[in-house]
Amino acid sequence: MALETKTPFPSTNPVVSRTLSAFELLFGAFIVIGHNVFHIVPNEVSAHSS
Amino acid sequence: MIGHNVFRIVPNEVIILSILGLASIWLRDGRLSSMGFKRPVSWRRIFVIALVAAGVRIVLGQFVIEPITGFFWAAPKAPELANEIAGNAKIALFALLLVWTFAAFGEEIAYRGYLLTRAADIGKRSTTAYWIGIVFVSILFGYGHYYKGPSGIIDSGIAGVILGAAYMLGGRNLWACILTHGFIDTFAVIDAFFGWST
Repeated sequence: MALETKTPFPSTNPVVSRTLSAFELLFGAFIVIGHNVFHIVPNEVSAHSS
Repeated sequence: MIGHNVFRIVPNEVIILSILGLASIWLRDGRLSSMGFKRPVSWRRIFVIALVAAGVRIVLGQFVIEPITGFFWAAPKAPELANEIAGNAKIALFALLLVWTFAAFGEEIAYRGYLLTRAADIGKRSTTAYWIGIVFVSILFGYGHYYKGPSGIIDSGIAGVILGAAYMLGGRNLWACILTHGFIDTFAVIDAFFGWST
């Protein structure tokens, strides 16, 4: 039961750090929903062909 | 690219999120242990948690979630590769390779390792913050399997909660949910190979 559960907090400025984390989470949600539901996040980089 | 577009088997957003996540954790936290990538004190405990969690997910999916969602929607749509696994050892082994790389490692780094950690950051990484984060990230995880249809989204969302619970029970250790995910999908490949489920 003696597992390591402590995790470091990423910044000395908690407000900035938490705001950045919220932004990252929302951006991640945008990628997931955008790719899978709305198909607006491109699948991969591809060259245009004529 | 070939895997994603031709075989429709590589969940592309997972790669993007995994790379973003590893970079973010490395740059902001300085060490990957922040996302749970750390050696557990007891591998045996992690294995037991993973086996139990995988069992719960399989039984729950088969005997509770699918029958209930089946009242409202069609059964979850399987990935296209799954239809070719039956009796084909070569495809089954290839599926296992994908399961343990893109699914077990990739999805767990992306969803539990990265997004859950960032969700928990918002609540100062308290236990409550992690559990609220698990609910939010599990909804995303469900929509990450949008191609499976409504019942598949719910099924995957609940799987996300179980994977998140394994992560927490393992002491916020990513190996617990990586192994859980690997066991679940390995069972699915074996199931498809022998044709146990229709």
